[in-house]
Amino acid sequence: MNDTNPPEKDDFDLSALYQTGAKETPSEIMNQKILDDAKQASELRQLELLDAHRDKLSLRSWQWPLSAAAVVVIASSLTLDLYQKDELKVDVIPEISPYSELRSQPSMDFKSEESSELFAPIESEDTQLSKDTVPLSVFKDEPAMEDKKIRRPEAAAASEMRAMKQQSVETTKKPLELDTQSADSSLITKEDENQDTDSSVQHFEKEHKQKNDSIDGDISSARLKRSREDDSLKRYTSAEAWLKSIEGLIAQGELSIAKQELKLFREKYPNVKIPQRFFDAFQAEK
Amino acid sequence: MSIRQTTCTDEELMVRYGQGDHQAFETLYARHKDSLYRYFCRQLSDMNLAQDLYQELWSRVIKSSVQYEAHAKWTTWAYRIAHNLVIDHIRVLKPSEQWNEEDHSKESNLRGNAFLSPDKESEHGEMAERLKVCISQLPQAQQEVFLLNEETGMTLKAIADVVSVSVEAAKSRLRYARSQLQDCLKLYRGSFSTTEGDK
Repeated sequence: MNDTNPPEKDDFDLSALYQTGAKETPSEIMNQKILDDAKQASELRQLELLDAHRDKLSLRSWQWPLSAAAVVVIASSLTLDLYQKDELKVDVIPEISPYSELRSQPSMDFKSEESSELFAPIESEDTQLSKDTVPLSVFKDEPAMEDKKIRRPEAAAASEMRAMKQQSVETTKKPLELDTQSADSSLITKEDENQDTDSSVQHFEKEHKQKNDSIDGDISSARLKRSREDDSLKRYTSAEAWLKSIEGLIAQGELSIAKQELKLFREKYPNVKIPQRFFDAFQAEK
Repeated sequence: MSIRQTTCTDEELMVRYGQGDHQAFETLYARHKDSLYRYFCRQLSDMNLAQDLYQELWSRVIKSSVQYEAHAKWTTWAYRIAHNLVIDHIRVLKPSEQWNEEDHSKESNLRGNAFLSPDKESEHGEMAERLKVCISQLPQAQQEVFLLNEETGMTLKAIADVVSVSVEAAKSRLRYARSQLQDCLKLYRGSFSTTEGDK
């Protein structure tokens, strides 16, 4: 050590003397005991590390399956949710309702009380769909049917309302085209409806005749028949209007067409009671 | 014991042992067992207590091997543990010793005469044995600093770290220890010469 005082002439070399006398050593037994303890502790520690490693591995082995299961559960629940929403959307797709077509021809007065009732915002799809019976407020001025509330399939009722809504959107897009005269007479009356349905039937018959001329063969006629049926189904989604059109046909003497229409009507509305006068008319013709 | 382990530092060996390499501990133990053993033996008159503390020291080293981080030299860390053990077992029970002539003469009478046999041992060997007696008579603080300096070759800073004092205090203690050991040996040589002259 340089920090100590320089050694004097007769000083002892303490370090040399110390090293000469430093002969004490721990006994072999003590050495062995300490080394054994150290070895035992080391082995214990290794076992603990091994256990910890195993635990870690076991956790890791569960890590991926658990994650995958969680992902699958989340994905499937999301998919189901989306699918359910899509199903609802499919139900919500507006059908082309002949009622709306018929109603679209006369211009609408949105200020009138009846039109506002017609095009009032739909409450909600669920509530609409849950209703088994839908009051037909449109025909409240018409002669009473036997049932004021007609049971209809849910989808048809919803589609009709939606078609009405679509109609309102379309009409709001071109408000300038509205005829003022027709706007004044926008209240739908019984006569209007009859005229509308008659004129539309005639119009479609003309169209079909023209198509018959242009299309040859059975296929074309079958197509025409099918399209006619489709047209009928589309146009007369409203049972009352359809019945009135059939009644009009009977009145005009078009009994064969009326029978066909009635047949289609029964397919479409099996629950609607057909007035006895129809059958009377057919009986009388026979 | 591999060649690689013999070239490793104490710190590396300790880390290896913490990682489960038992051979590293054997190497470490072989390096420091004697000096640590003497550290206890020279400070404690009770050899059984010295052996107990020595074992306790290694037990603590073994237990601490997992958490050991080589922030300081291993020797500093280990001797710090040894210092604390000595302090816990001796210093608390025993009041601080002061070097005085009365104790010195008493120790000389009690111990020195017991093993001094000038006829059988050479003078150097005799003086080495006498040095042990003189060391045992030093105050504990000076004794410890001297032993650390001689056994481990630690710097004053390392010694100061071990005994938790300033470098200046450690330096002072070492200087006093050396001075008093010289005086002790000179005193013995004077008495030895007188004895020889009488013969």
